[in-house]
Amino acid sequence: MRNTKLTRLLALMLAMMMAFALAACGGSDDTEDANAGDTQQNEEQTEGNNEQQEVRDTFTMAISYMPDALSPAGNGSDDYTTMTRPLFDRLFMENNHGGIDYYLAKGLDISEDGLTYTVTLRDDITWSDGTPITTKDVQFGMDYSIAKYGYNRYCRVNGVEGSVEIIDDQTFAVTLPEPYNYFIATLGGMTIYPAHEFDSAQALVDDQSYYTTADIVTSGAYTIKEINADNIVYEAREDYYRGTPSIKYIVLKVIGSGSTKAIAFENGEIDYMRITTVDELEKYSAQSDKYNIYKIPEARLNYLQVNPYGPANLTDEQREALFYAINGDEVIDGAYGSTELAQNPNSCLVPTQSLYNPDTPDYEYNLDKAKELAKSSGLEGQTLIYIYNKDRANMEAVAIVLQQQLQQIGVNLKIEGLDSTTFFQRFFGLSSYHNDQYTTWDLGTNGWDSMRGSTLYQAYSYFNQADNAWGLTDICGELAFKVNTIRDTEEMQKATEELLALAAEQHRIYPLTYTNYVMVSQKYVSGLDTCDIVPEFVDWLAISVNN
Amino acid sequence: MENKVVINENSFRRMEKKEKDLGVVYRRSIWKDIKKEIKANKMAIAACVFLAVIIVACLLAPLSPYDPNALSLADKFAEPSLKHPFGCDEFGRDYFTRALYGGRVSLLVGFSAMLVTVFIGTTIGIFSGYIGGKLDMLLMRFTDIFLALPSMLLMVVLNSFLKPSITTLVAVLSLFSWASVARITRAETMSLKERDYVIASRNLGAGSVQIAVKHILPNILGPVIVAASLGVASAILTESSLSFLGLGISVPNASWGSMLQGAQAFILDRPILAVYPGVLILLTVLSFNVLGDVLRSALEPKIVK
Amino acid sequence: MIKIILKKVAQVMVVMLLISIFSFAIIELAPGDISAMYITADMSAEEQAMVMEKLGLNKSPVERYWEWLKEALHGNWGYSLSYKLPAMGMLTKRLPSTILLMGTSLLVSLCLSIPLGLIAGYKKNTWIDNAISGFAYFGMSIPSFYFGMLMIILFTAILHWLPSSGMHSFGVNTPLDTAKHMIMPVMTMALSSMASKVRYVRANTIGQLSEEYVLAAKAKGTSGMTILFRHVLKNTLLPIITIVGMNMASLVCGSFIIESLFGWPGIGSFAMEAIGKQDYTIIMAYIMLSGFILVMGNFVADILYSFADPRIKRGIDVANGK
Repeated sequence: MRNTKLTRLLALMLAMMMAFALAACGGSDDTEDANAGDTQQNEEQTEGNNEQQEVRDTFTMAISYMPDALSPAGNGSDDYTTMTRPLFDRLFMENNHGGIDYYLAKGLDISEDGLTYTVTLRDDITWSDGTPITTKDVQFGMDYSIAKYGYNRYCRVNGVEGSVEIIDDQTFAVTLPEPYNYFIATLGGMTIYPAHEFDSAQALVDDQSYYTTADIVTSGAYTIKEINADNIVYEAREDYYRGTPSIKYIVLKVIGSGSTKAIAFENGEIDYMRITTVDELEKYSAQSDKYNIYKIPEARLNYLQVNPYGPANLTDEQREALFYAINGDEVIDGAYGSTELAQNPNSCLVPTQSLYNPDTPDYEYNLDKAKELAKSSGLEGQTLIYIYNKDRANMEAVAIVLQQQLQQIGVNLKIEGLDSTTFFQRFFGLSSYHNDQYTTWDLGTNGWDSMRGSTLYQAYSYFNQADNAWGLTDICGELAFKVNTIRDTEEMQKATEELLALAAEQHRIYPLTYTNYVMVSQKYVSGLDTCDIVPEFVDWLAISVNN
Repeated sequence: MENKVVINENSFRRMEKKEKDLGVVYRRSIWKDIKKEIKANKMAIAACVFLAVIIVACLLAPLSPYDPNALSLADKFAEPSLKHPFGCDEFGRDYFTRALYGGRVSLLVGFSAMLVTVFIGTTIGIFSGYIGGKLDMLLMRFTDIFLALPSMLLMVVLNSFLKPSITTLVAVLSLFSWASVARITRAETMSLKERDYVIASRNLGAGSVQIAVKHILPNILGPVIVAASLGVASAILTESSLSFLGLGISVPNASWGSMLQGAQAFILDRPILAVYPGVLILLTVLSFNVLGDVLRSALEPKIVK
Repeated sequence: MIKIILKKVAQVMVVMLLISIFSFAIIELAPGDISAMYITADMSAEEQAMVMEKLGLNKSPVERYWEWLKEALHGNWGYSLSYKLPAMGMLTKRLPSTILLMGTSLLVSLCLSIPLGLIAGYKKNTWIDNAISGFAYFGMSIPSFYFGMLMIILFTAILHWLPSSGMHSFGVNTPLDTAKHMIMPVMTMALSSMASKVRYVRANTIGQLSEEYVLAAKAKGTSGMTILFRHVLKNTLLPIITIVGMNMASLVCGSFIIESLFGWPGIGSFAMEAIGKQDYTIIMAYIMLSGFILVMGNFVADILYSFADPRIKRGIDVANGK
């Protein structure tokens, strides 16, 4: 009797709590039955012991946020690309070994003059609703580009449009106005939409809500099975043209920020994650009975850019002093801790590019010379504004190390860590965003994705910057242009060496790191590095969860 | 309410004697109350001692043989030792020295934000309460908005637009916390301005500013001091949250919050790095909270001990 | 009474309007070029120019605000810049998860703080009181993200009892599973808001215990616990309403960090992501939505309070400056 009031109160509150909980689950109850089988499977899996003999069929990936749409167009971020890779296939892709991996396309033919690219699609490819994928869909993708950007980006080089010819259901040819090696990547990564699902390309530009539901039609190995409050489930397609993947379900699960991800991984809630510190690398390497480690060269060059339009307006001599003061090995040691995570580069090209030459001379570290030059050029005592993208792994640490190194020659760095959006708006203020923020920084670190293959790739757009955003002389631009159009390998190599030497002389871009993309997975997972491309996982047939 | 009665008596006495040094009487009694209360409360003594130690240690930070920002890659993650009492962080920087410098930033942000908050809050509160009428109504609606804003979110939005610095942090923190101080001081002012001695003083020809400064301000000092102490606590807490979201002061400088944020990347394997700044924040905030409560019970006897 | 409610409704509307002006101003006055938020690198120069024109950036901020407001009143909160989907729809889709989290932690904090406060007050200055007060101090002094991190380490990394993040396990859709996912975020959120309630109830209990009716009950031989939970509780609950109203603020704002930390799929973590992407329509819609929750919390508390205790009604009005 004594506690009736309290009991009643508590009972009431508990009842309300239950109501809350039920209300929350009610929303997605319809999926419950369908999943009953997987449920058990998953629970056992989470308990995660290696003696587990049962056949697994689920691969769980961490995502940091719930995407509201899963569209083949992408939104520029790597995690989004990773999320959509299982759903949408590309035409083809250059690999690390000088060749081309084919997906939707079965052949690429480049004419002698390097102008005409003829692509043949496979004849057994279908959308997940059974409709064949044909050049109609390719045409739609081009129409989409025209509706969205006002031009067809799949036949345009340096602002001039070429032409496209649809030959038959499986074949189309693109003719460029001038030879352009880098075009292979553009063409291979072309966004292909299911034309039969939309009234017109313009309609899709205006309204993207088609891609917010689970019913979308896909071209890749998976379809969307369900979209829940905090996870998305993909299901393998039985009719996928390259065969049925051994992983039946991919679960994209929202995992909390910070170290929550590592905890979730160790707890068996997710099957793999990226690691960026030497501490993690050593820890997981030491437990090779529980985890697998994968190292993929990221084909990314992280570099320091001296802004030609910065407030300090550094002279040739001052820039030289800066570059002498940077100790590349210490940057790796301090910010990455191990050469397994990143190497000290010697060139603006990365080792996976065929034009890369390991003998290209690197900038020399010479503190005495740097001090001398800093004094004589009046650099000493100056404060420079340094910006970096804090969403990128290890960039803050690089900033801290550089700051300390430059302090030794009396240069003070005022560091501003920015999130991706803000960073790009400032870093590319002149070249891409056409705003006036490009005058607000002196030094900045960025990374460019060098991809693979035989061209300068992104380096091209830096060397050949029409608006001279990076301060390199026009001759650099002309040379880069030449490299990109030369068809002869030897000549191409020679021009590249010349270009790199010329660019290095100008002390504008300091190559900081070649990074590795290092992942750790549960022991039962294998094949994460079969297709060594970042963002990760292009070939889902190669990944298995029954190692 | 009782303390106002006490004050009332004093003021009448003073009016009769025509003393010049008006404020001192109250202030002395306030400090006396506080002293007495602190002495009687062991928690309060502990809080005071802890804060004194922390503040002195942070002020003496430059005496440390280490530069808080200089890299020493050989000492990466050094274990705590005599040489490095808290060990070293991922760049081999002495963690103890960094904690001291970090404390300077955290305390500086806490105190400055509190001062600005109290200044704005009290000014608006007294102004609004004393003048009353339409203006009061307007100001209070304005205050309501600030109380109703999702302040943490706006702080994050603002901070992500502004360049991170101590000034920005202080400005942003005080922008969203003056409202409650204004509310308190206004309520006190409202009741004070109808007191006989204020009315008497007004009738004797004292100007509004004079009354506000000489009669009202000293009498609302109690609640303001309490709000100030709690204000430091909440400013330090909020600063640590902003730092956790990566919106604190810029590298390589540290605050306790940003040290905690840095440490969380290593929390699984080197939890000790998160312990020092975390415990420092916890104890400092705790001390200010305890102090705030003790002050409250000293200055507002209505709350039963 | 209806008059009072109407007056309050009018007040809520004015406050909401001012919140919108204020948040619009923050975004507008933010340093940097506002057009930068709308322009992405993959746009062509022509397209960028088109966007600028479409946005009417030649218009004054006042005109732009007016247009935003007109649209908002028609229920059109704009399209997310990064997703090109209706902003409010994206938020309301996530609202139930947040309300579930907020509501539960509110209940938990009430369920725990009221009895704890009563007992602390009843046993004032004993070790029980000291322990409870110490706990309350701890709760209000520890940064919530720090406490959350410690919980994850303890319950997930060391003990493997609870899942680290999210709301459901894959394929599992039982209330029990959701409850398991909720324990840590709810406790983290409840802890910080509990502290003030415990202390409030305690102070109130001490005050009530010296009232005459308690003495009378004691004289009649009623046991201490009965007095506490039958009489004192009733008189303490009333002011709690106001505290709960005020707590809405810390719940709404707290959900922000906690949701990000625990990967809870609610509006808080979504807004956090929007801030990172500078998705300004979503930020604006989020501020309005959470401002609304907050104002409504206070509003309902005010109304309930004046219903429950008409005596105080006048007092509130005076305090509000009327």
